[in-house]
Amino acid sequence: MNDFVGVGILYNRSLDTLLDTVPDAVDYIEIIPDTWFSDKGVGAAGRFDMFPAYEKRILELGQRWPLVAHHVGFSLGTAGYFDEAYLDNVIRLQEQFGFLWNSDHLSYSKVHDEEVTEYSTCLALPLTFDEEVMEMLTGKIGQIKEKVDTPFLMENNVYFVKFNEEKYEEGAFLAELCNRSGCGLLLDLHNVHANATNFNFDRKQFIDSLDLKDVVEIHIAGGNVIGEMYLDSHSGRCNDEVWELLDYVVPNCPNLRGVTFEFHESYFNTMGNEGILEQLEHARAICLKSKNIVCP
Amino acid sequence: MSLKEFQQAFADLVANGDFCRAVKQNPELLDEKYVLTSLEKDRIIFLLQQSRGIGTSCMLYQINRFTPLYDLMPYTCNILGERTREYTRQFWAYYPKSNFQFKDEVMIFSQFLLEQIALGNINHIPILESLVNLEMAGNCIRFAVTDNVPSQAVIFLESLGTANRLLFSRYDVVQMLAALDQLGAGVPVDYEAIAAVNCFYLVHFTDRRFAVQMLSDAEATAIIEERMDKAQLNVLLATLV
Repeated sequence: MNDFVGVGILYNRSLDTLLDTVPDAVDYIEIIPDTWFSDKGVGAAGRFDMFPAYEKRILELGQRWPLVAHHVGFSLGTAGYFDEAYLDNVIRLQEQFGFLWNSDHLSYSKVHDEEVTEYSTCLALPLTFDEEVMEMLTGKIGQIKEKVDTPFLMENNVYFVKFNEEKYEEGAFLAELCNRSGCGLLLDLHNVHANATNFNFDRKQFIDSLDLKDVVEIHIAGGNVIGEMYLDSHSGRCNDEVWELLDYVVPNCPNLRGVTFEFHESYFNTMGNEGILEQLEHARAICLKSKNIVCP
Repeated sequence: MSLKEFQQAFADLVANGDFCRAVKQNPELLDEKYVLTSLEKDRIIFLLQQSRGIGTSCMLYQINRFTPLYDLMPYTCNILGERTREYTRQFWAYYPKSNFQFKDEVMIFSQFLLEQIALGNINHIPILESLVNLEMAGNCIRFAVTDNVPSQAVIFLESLGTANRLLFSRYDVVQMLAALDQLGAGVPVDYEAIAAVNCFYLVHFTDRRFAVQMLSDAEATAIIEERMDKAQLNVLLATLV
């Protein structure tokens, strides 16, 4: 049940040639379902609508590789709001595509007021690591886990501001959230690298503050400096620091099931297929030092 | 309720650099808009002191909000050029509560631009109205929008199929597209060289490319009144592929 699936990739359309010609390059494919359907908005009839061509493509991918779902629309961090229709759609997608696991982010990306049911913050905003947020998330994750029969993971977020007087440090918050809610951790090592770069903390000390038994999936990616801060822009190849962290963390994650390379489609030309293969092979070489890949 | 208001305040600040500066100067403004605990108010003040972080967050808001507009209306954004920033800022004031759906964002931005053109607030680009309508036709096809289109110049008819639209344009669409492709290569648009036509086109849009066919008045009328022989219509549609 908890076998290591291998090295996967976050799907985008620039990958089609590589996947057709070197299908063994990846062991599974992660998709962001939200980019494949249209959402007519809260309360709209037939709210979630997937184009038939998209549906066909996911099914094609699913015939060749195991699929996992990385959602961006739950906005579980939004206070006073839980989108049950979104959950119903996740259940439908799960039934149709049989994802190995589902995940979303430790952040909020929607707010709501008297005028509109929800509107977008246009970026994932960080949460305060307090008891109130812990209880809110625990309740919502419980609702998801009741209805979605796969592991559900929460991804550590990137942030550009810090809050004062929080009850928990981030690592302790994540460990306690996993413990209370039963969710797993999607450990984004590039987010750790970005936060450590911007806020000058020790990457490995942060990793050590987590309970690595919670880690089910790891994200790796590249980024760059824009303006005055280092961003999680998924801009191609992983940094040396991310590889070093991967090497450090993988042997210590007994429940790890996959390592996913993410890059934004617009950066495809900075790597090409050869560059992407190099990233996947590098990740696989690190993983195989301590894991055996088992096809699900 | 308080956490909800705190999150809203944070989101509002990230969406509006002017609001950040105003609150930084006068934190009491927070009390006018939100019900916050003293800790939450302290936290807002604390994060506003992190100028790099709040500045980056504001920048990302703008990038993330502008990117779909540029992606889905590249010709319009290119021709607005340096003034794109000015008009998108006006648009964000006009429509502050963006939702997750790029379809809505782009349709409302199109509507906003058409309103500004009609009011005479944007009058320095003669072909802009026709261009906005053309890209709206493309986005209607992309997002399968068949009703409530914010322009009467873009017409959906069952007989044309979902991948085509009828478009009324004041300017020659073929010449417009050629000029805009040149603009992408750094050649300024010569508006005088684009013919005023006031006629209908059949528009097809796929893989980010337009295919268009100019129609005679008689052809357009026959299509709109659904009098055109099916074989004749198929011949016209075949010219688009």
